Amino acid sequence: MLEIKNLHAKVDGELVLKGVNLSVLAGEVHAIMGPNGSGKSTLSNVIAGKPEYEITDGEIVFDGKNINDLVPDERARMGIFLGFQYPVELPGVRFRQYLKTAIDSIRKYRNLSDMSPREFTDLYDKNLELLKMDKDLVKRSVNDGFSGGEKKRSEVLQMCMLQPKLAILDETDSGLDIDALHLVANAINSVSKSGTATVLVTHYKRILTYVKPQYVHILYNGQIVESGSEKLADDLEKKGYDAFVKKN
Amino acid sequence: MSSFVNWIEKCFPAGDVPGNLSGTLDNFSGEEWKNTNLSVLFETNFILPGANLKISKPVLYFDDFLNLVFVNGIYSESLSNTIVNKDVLIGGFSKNKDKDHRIASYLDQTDVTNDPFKELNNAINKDMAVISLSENQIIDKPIHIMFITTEFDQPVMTCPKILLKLEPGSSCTVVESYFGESQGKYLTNSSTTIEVNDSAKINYYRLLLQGADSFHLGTVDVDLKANASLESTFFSKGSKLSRTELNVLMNGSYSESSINGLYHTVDEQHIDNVINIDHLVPNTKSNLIYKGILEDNSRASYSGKIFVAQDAQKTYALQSDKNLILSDKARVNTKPILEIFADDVECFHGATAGAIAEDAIFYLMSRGIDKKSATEMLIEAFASETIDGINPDAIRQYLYSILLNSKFVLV
Repeated sequence: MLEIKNLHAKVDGELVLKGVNLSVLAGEVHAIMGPNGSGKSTLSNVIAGKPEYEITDGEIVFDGKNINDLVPDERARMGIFLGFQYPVELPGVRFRQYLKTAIDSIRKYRNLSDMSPREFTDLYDKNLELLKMDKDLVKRSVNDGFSGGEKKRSEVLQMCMLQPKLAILDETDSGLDIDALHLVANAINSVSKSGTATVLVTHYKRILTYVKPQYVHILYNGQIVESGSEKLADDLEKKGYDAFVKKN
Repeated sequence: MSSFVNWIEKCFPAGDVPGNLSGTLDNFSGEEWKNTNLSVLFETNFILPGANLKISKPVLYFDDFLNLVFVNGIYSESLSNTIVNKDVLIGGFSKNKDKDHRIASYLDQTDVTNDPFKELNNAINKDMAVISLSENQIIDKPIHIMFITTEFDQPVMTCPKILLKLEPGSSCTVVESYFGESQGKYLTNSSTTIEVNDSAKINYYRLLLQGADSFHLGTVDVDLKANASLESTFFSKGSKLSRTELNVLMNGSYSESSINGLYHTVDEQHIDNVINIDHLVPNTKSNLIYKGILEDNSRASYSGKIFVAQDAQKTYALQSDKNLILSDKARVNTKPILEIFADDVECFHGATAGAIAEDAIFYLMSRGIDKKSATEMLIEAFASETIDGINPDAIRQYLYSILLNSKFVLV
């Protein structure tokens, strides 16, 4: 599904990714952990195609296609979803209209007609229930005035609605209380079961007890310095990042 | 700059200069005219249009409203819903035709003004739009006053005059709109007086939707008495040069005004908004929120002055002007001013100008929405705060439709 080869990327003239290699198959869950400034968010944003990030070497192959030069909306229509670490508030943009436009853009790319309002409402209600979110959200503006936890749940709600092939969740677990974390983990599991490849970018092992990753990677100084099974996260918790960094 | 008097003398044949306009002084040197370049206007000779009432239903005509249609300054009885009874006066009237004593007294009011364009309006306005409600009269249907300029071979000028007079406890919703069938040059020089007496309430929406080569100069004077309320939206899109001056007197305690504005400029258009809100007595409240969307090489200026008199304690006043600049060449000049002489007040002001936030565009694109749609979505969202405040659904929907028909240059 996702094949990243020797990826180098710059932001603000500084080289942040220095040769990342990563391969994620459909239905797999990968966790990427790493200290602050190691390049986790950069990696997420580069995959999603954020304009100020420049790929200087290597390639990102998604669904068999090199997407290095594709604009973000095209990547999204192909099936890439980014759950933002800091979701943007869009006052005045109605949540329902926004989600419907997004869904229909993606459907159009797949040669499907617009989702009927009824089907949309059913899907929306189902996912709101899954995340135990307020039905009135639909009347509000996107993320406008949402609390930190609501914003993160809103990201996961959007993922559930858009049914991507690849979901990159950038610190989606940060700022969630334990109940919200359960709900979010549930939702991620259900999307993952449907075949979505999932990349969880996180600081904390906590979410990995609810969403079981097949692989855990440690990103340090722009490179993946260690990859392993779920157990790697336990080791990391015990020994700290230094233990893994020094080996290199 | 050629002078007002020279221009008037060019527009009117010798000996035909109306009123005492010949003696009018150019009075455009002050701060309030600083950003309006009248030279393009003064280069054009305008004539007074002859009667031409051959017009089918105007574009913005809604059957479930009370409609007052003025074509080239002349009231069209056939297209309008005139109401004349002892409590309510709604229609277009003139001194010659209408003998109602109320009309005579309104028309006899001669404002003492040092504004040359107001003088011009006084001198040549034809039929006056009047809405006059006696005590406790409530008009449920929106009243829509339309001023339409039709096609002429030569540039024409019209001087609409509007009087909205609400006696205590009365209320109504008024839409005052200006549009032109003509794509050529024409001048509309309007003057609106709104008198809202104790505990009366008016929703007032003013829509400038004139042709790309038109000029519009308008003044709106509002006087709010105790407990009176004004809910208002000023929407402007179109004219080559337009200037709207709004003067609000908060003249009675517990009066409230909520005024929203939205302007959208393209090409070489220039729009000017000059607003004065005077809080003259204690316990009054005003909200003034303007927004601008600027494209191409267009210019906008906003000057909002909140004045709080020494006695006007417990005044609440908020004003802001926010601008979305969609082109490198567009410019806005924004000047929110507070002049406060009382010491126990809450006053806020602010102004912003900037492009659409890149991170907002990226967020929408990351959901599969293309850049053009994302931009439009954000512009609509920006405008929605203003447009959503408009009460008649039909007007609100119409404004959305013309806003979204715009070209919106990609950022």
